Amino acid sequence: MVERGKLDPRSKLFFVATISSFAVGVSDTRMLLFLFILAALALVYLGTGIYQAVHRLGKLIYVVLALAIVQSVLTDAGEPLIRLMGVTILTDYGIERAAQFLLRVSIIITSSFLILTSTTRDLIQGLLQMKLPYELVFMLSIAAKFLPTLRNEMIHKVMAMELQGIDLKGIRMGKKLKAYRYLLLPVTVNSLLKSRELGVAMEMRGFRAMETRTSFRQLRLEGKDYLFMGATAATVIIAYIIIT
Amino acid sequence: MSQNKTRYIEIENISFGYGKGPDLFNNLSLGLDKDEITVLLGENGSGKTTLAKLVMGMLGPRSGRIMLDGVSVEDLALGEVGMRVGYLFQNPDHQIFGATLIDQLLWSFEFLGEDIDLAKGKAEELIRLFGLEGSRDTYPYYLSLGEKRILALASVLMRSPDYLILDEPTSSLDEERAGVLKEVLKNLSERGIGMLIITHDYDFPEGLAHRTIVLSEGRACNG
Repeated sequence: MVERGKLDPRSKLFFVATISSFAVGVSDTRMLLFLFILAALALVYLGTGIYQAVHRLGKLIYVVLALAIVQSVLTDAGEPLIRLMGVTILTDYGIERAAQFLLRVSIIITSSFLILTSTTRDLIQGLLQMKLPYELVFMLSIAAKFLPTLRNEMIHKVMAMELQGIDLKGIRMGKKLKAYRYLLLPVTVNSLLKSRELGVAMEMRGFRAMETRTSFRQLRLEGKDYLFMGATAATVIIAYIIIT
Repeated sequence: MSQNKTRYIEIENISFGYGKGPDLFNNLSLGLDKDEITVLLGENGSGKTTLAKLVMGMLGPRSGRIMLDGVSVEDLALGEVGMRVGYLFQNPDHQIFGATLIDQLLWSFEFLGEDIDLAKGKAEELIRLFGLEGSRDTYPYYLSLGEKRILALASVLMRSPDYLILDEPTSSLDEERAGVLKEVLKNLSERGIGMLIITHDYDFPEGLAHRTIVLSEGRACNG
């Protein structure tokens, strides 16, 4: 039995890569539905609920839905379902395309959440042991750690702006864009200044001073990881053969 | 302290904690007046900044309410609170939006289509008052932390608020600027602007504060 959440991050990455590649490659709705269920089951099994995943997506979910609608309308192929003044608005193929798009995005996002069940430190170590360049992996880790700081700064800046009497929700789009310019410019400059300071601090602590780096912490693929990766590959390939 | 008098800011039996964490305050009550300067002291993590954010409506209490001039803060938009109470953030970077000093002081007036000429005069006066003339063309992000703090305070003062909440106003200020700040605050107080000063600098409030409150273990005690 696989211990929940305790898989090696590399086996999770393998799962995400396999599921996502199939999601992008196949165009069969039933196969996509199967992949989504598989990703959702893995997510629930490894300790993160679907609800939390959806909650984390927040407003992005509306963008995905809007894109799905755009995908479905004004497609000529298929049986017309809605026609307006001689123009085909919606066809059965359009609906299928929208459903496929939704499933694809859901599979990629749901399976990606699986990575969050590993700590950043483990994930980085996993990537390093996959022979990715240390500098690249380190950049990724810094970016991951920097995101909450950036978010916090944005929240405070929006509040500071609102305290100046600017109601971001109530203003017209043109004004809103202007307000965002005032928001984003200092945030960008501040981020650049911070990254420069970080670079200096890293060099002062000997970053890249030696050609080779070793890690005290080493990850080891265990039987349960091989089982998980094997089961993933076998399930997806068998399902692909049966369904399509 | 009189219990019958209605104060400009009334914090009534509020409880607050972050997320699902324990209460930082439990049934905390406090009144703040426009005719006094109150200094809020307390250890790191005692909730001084949190209390300020609650008063500003940036955070919502778990229970209890905060009244601003007789109106519950929960019923006011952030902008409505901000027009009456000027808030100096602990981190001045949060309040800097402009590309130059003048731009920083005027951008919201321009954005809201308000009288720029009048605001320009006030901005020049504040730049002079705080000795920022030498940094006039510097991009605000390249200013020192102390200068940024002074600039953020000047931006707050541009709106002529009735009350000021200043979170660590003297942090990273040199002695000369701290002295100027003290004079400015004294002057504002004489003009009827009340203020709550959150600080760790025990010398700064001397000769300035009318009242000192110490926040400890979720309770406010008169210092």
